[in-house]
This record gives sequence, C-alpha cells and structure tokens, in this order.
Amino acid sequence: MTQTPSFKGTHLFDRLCWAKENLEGVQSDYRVVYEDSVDECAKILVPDPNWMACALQGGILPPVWVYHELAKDEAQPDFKKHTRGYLLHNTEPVEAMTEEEAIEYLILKDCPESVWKTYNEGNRLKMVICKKEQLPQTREWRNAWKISDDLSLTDLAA
Amino acid sequence: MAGKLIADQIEHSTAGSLDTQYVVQGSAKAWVNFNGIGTVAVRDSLNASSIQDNGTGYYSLNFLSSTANINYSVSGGTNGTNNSFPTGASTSGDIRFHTSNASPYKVQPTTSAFTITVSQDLNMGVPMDIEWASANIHGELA
Repeated sequence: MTQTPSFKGTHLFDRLCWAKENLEGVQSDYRVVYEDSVDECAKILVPDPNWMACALQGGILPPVWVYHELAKDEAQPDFKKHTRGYLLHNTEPVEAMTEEEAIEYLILKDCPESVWKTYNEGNRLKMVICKKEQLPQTREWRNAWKISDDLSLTDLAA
Repeated sequence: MAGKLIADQIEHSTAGSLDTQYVVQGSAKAWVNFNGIGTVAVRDSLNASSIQDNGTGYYSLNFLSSTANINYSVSGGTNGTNNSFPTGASTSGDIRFHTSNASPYKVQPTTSAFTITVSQDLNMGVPMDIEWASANIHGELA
C-alpha cells in the first residue's frame, strides 16, 4: 500500500493532487438518500471515488468539523471571503477510515445539518443509507421519489 | 513534499515567459465528469467529495478544498442527449450552473458546492437526465 506523506501544513489542494496521482479511485456501493423539504423529492448523495480513496487511505482529509467552522463563517450576513481557510490546510488530517466511517463523514460534510441532526425525529425518516442496488433501477418518476413510509429505525438496525 | 520548485516566472526558449501566478490562477480548481442517468455516478474528478442527484436533470457537486468566496467561475458541458456518447449531437441538453429561473433550482452557490441543471431547451422547461456531463471551476481557493 502506498504510504501517505506527512501532510500536516500542506495545502489541501496539494494533498488532493498527490492522491490523484497515487491512489486508485474506489467506487462505493453506498448511497445516502435524504429529504430536506416536504416539497421536493428525495435527494441521493453519491460518494466521489477519488474522495473515497482518500478517506480509506488516511492522512489526507481534514476533520469534518473544519467544514462546519467554515460553514458558520459563510453563514454570517457580512461574509465576503474566507479568512480561516488555513483550518483546511493546517489541521491534522484524519486517520484512515473504514468505508462505513467514510460515509458518516460524508453525511456530516455534504448533507444539510437540519437532516443529519434530526434524521430520526418527527413522523418519518429523513435519511437512510442504502446500497445502490436498493435504489429504483430506472429514473422513471424521479421527481416523485420519496423515502418509503414503510421503513422504520428497526429495519435500519436489522 | 520532495521535488519542490519555487519560482515566480517560467520562461520558454522561444515563446516568452510568464509569471507562475498565471498558472496558479488559471488552473482548474475542481472538475468532475459524471453519469447522470441510471444510478448516478462520478467517472472521474479532482477536488470533489460527492455528487448529489437532486431530481431529473438536477445535480449538485460538493467539493473538498473550498473556494475563498462564491464568485468562482463554473463551466462545463454535456453530450447533448441522454443517449450514449458520442451519439448525442443535437442542440438539446442545455446546461446551467448555480441558478435558473424555475424553482426549485434557485440555489445559491456556496464555497463548497454548486448546482447543475440540464434541460431539453433554453427555457429550462423540461429537465433532462444526461449520460455524459462535466463541470469545472476556476477561482481562488480558501
């Protein structure tokens, strides 16, 4: 297995360029299906293969809290430009993850906070992790896709 | 990292010189090529964490190394139809980024994500899934 160089303090983009050169992409079978609006259809998060390779390799990606900090900055009404981009580059990169841990990371990074914080509250589930084979095999009526009401937390635990 | 070169200028033997800043500013900071039909999947990319299938002809790209602000440039294209490449050569497959004039596509870009919408016509009237789509961004990184 390729050894990750010591990347602390290296610009994240440079780390990603190293990964692009040295790591083989990993297509994940996992998908995250979530609903963040009652007026819209279910959305499906598809992990990027090069990102998954970085997550499995370790030592490349910043901790996910860094993205939350930058999102807080961006949510300020007077936001013009990031001034804490150094958090992406100077924070100690996270260790190698399993594919399941990587999906958790991705949810925390790319799903809206309103979804992952309260995914199992309310009258119905807002988010499920599934294998791509469990999605409809054609995109017929795509804009009407919803998470099945038949699913329960017990099903997910099974 | 080993093999680091620090230079402010690159000079060609006959074609003149340019500041390395031109290379830094002019390089794509993220790109993606994805399949937008069937089970949506990324074929290849740089600086992307995920692609999101939001509905028919409606996708988002999330990236890892955030941009400094939201004023980055996005460009891209499609193969024009939802058939297999390279058969698509029609004028359909209009692709737009960030926003369009129809809800729910009015989505403000962020420094770590933008939206892509594909339709059969210029008015974004009929959203269309697309088999070959690509997008890239230029701008300043955070």
